[in-house]
Amino acid sequence: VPSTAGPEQAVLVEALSLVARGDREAFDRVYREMAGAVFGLARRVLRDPALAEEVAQEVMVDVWRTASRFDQAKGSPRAWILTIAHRRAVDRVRSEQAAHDRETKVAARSNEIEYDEVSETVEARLEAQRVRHCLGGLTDLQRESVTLAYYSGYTYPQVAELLQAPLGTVKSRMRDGLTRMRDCLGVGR
Amino acid sequence: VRTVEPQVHALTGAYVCHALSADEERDFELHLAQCPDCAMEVAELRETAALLAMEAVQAPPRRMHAAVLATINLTRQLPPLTTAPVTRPMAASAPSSFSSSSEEQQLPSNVVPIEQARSRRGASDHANRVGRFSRVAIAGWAVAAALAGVVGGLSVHSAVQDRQISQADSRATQISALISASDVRIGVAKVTGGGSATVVESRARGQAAITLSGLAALPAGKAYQLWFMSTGDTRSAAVVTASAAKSGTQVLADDLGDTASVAITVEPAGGSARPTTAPVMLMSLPT
Repeated sequence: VPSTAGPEQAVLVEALSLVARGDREAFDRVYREMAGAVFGLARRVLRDPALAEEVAQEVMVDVWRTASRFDQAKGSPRAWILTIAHRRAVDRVRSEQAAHDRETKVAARSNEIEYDEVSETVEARLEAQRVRHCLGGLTDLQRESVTLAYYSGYTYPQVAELLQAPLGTVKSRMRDGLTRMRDCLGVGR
Repeated sequence: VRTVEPQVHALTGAYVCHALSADEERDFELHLAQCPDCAMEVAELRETAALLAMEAVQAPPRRMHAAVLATINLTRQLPPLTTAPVTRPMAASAPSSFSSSSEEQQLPSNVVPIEQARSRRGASDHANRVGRFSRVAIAGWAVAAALAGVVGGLSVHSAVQDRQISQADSRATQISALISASDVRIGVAKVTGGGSATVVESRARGQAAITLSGLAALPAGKAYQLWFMSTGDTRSAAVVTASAAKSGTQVLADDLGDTASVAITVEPAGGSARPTTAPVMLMSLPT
């Protein structure tokens, strides 16, 4: 079983099993641990803060709704939650409604926004540094294939078009790039 | 032993990045079900992708926390998957207005699931799968109820329960539409004496859903009454029994109009024409 099992992942496993039984306090712990990553990822993919907020909100409600279906044999809570988040963000990017939504949302919510305090722990900062370091170790084509797909939400044919590279090449660079990131970050080893 | 076609196997990276077309994704998932190597690699690459997200961490708007907590109060949780749903007819997918046992209280009766599918491909792959399962579970439950009816000579039950299910479905659809309205607003207020009221409202749709949960018991002959108040006009929105307001209930109103606040008072069981006591809850909805 692949796992980046830090102690916080074990805490989340425990919390999710309580959430599945309707425990709102446990849900609050999951929210505090994961909302920053969920919102940050949605923001990175969607750019628009109002859309990102909406998507992040839906993702956290999904976590509540579907907690009973989380299976720790299949991966960490973090991977489970962020897979849901990435899927929703990418779907939103691709939906034709996005442009229209953006206009009405911004109009409806343009009041001053208060943000949660940034609970950027030393741990989280080190993790982000490690990711940047490992991205730096990829070839340009690997790195661009991975980041255009993951952070920008492009399909691999769109990535191939942007990079002026053959489809098959981009497909395998995405896999090679992620595999190299996996090894560099020590996932599942 | 790898019997994997290299072509298909090479899609793991694009799959994890959600970079495949819908068709390719479906084909790849069919392949994945029969390829333990691929499944293992996908799991590892998912963990890796999750770490990529940690590079993007950003504090969410503070109001998101309250909105999420308010929404989960309106959101029924999916039951776990079991191998034998039909033999466990009382799984949580049953509409709970039938059961009033105390263990049901943390999932208030009449709280309905908020359907995922905003657009055909709108939900996460996980949620899609889950959505399908929940319908299967409901069908299984109805079958089980019918079987139980035959055995116990209570066949009328299954028809009643089927109707309850379809009512819950149609309300879920309406509330789902309400929550996704572009001008939706959500407010939560404590109720004097105990419990809380959650109001979800959209002017564009002219609708409001009000969820009451954990309200105090009342003397016999009394009930809670909900009011919509606008300038110079106060009208009754609903009368709710104390037991429903304690265990949890939901009112969906289509005639929000220019309501400026929602109030709750304690009234005689049949309801009053006008509020006769001081409100136990008053929430303003500035327009």
